[in-house]
Amino acid sequence: MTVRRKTVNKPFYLQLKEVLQEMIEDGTFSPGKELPSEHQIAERYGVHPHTTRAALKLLEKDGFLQIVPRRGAFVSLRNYSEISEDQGFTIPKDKRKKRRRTKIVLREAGPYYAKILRIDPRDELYYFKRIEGMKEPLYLEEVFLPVKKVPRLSEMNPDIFPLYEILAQNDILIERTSQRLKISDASKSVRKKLKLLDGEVVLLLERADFDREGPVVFMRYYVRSEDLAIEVKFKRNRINK
Amino acid sequence: MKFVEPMAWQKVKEQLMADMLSDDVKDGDRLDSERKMMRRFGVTRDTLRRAFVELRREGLIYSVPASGHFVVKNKNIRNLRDLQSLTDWAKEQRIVLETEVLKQRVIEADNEIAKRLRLDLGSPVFYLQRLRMLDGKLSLIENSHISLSRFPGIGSIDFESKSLYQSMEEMGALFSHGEEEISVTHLNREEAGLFDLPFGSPAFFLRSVVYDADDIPLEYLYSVHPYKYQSFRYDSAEENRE
Repeated sequence: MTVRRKTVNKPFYLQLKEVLQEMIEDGTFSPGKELPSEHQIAERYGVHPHTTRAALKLLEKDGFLQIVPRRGAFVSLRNYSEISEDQGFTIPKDKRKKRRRTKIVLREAGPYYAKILRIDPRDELYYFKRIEGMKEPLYLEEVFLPVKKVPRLSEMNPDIFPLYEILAQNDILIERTSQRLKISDASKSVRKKLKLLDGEVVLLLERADFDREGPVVFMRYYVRSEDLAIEVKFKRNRINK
Repeated sequence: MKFVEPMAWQKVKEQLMADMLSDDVKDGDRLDSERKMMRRFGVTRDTLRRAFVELRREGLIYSVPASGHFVVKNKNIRNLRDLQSLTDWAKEQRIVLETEVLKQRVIEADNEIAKRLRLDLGSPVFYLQRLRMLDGKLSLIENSHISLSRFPGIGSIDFESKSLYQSMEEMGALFSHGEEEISVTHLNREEAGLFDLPFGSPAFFLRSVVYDADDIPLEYLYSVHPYKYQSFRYDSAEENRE
């Protein structure tokens, strides 16, 4: 009697994952770039689109990709920063991604942001404002970023990648974050955007992130306070008497 | 990319915010008169008032009718980074801290307490409610929960004169890390009465658990802080300060 040994291959989706991972790692697909569609990949390797999807999901899980439903899969940016968005006061995020398009405008820094960001009041800033949340708005984010820090911001797709990854991609490594949290009354426009009732207050979080040379970006978050808590982790680093 | 010009009131607001960043501007300083500012910025009274409304909303100034607008600085600022006890923080800030114990008793762990302290439902828990006065003003109400089986002797301590953390440390506790949630609450009648504020005023609601190095929960605390003059900060740079 002959025993035929069956070779057990890795499932296709794992093989495909490894192939794609290699192409990301060797730069065939560079950071920020959009991958071919599921169908194109499936066709090229003669596998079922479900297999492709499983492979992409796995790559996303391992941090190689960002998948945005109905928009595509994007190669993750480098992320060398020690400080991430999640440091300090963190706002629980709606993890589902959406196909938003943020409108970025330019403005003069003016005296206040010039002081905070230690730049000339006449320097230009990118300014954008966006609502986070799916069905219900959770918070309103405002970003003030000097143009000279990231000259080609729109190419980096700030809708898809977190700002700190875009900064890392521009060799700006955030080393320090300084944040302030208070309760504030909401202006009419903030109330409208966050669908707040009259008299409802917001948690106002202001955040400046620094690299070795100084401040890089200033952000302000108006957080709906009724159904959201801000979280912070802390550890002891000195001896209390 | 479009270039936008901030609105006139926004420019005024930002200029005033920039002015207030200066160390020369102190808490309680009166801003220039409206007439003077209208001249300085070349804006109408309406524009100026819009800027004041916005500054007031964010708690950066307060206004007294027929008297003027005043700078708010030196809010009670606590850093949440380093697990510093209120006692030590007050000492460092040269603020006089007084404590009044409202409630001190053994209770049974309800669902919330059991979950936070990782105890069985109904376990005996030491409950301590304290009013904390900073420079003579009631500033927060703290509700501490500590497992009685981990700290059997805790019920017999006078917490008006002794710090809770210090007492726990003397019983062998080593505070290592923690997590905190900050949200907004509205003062109930009892709290409003204590703080002498209107019923329903917004306030910070903080909930935290501190652990020892083995990740065993030592204290579950929730506290209520009226929001005026209170803000919290977090600076990662202070981690390396020793």
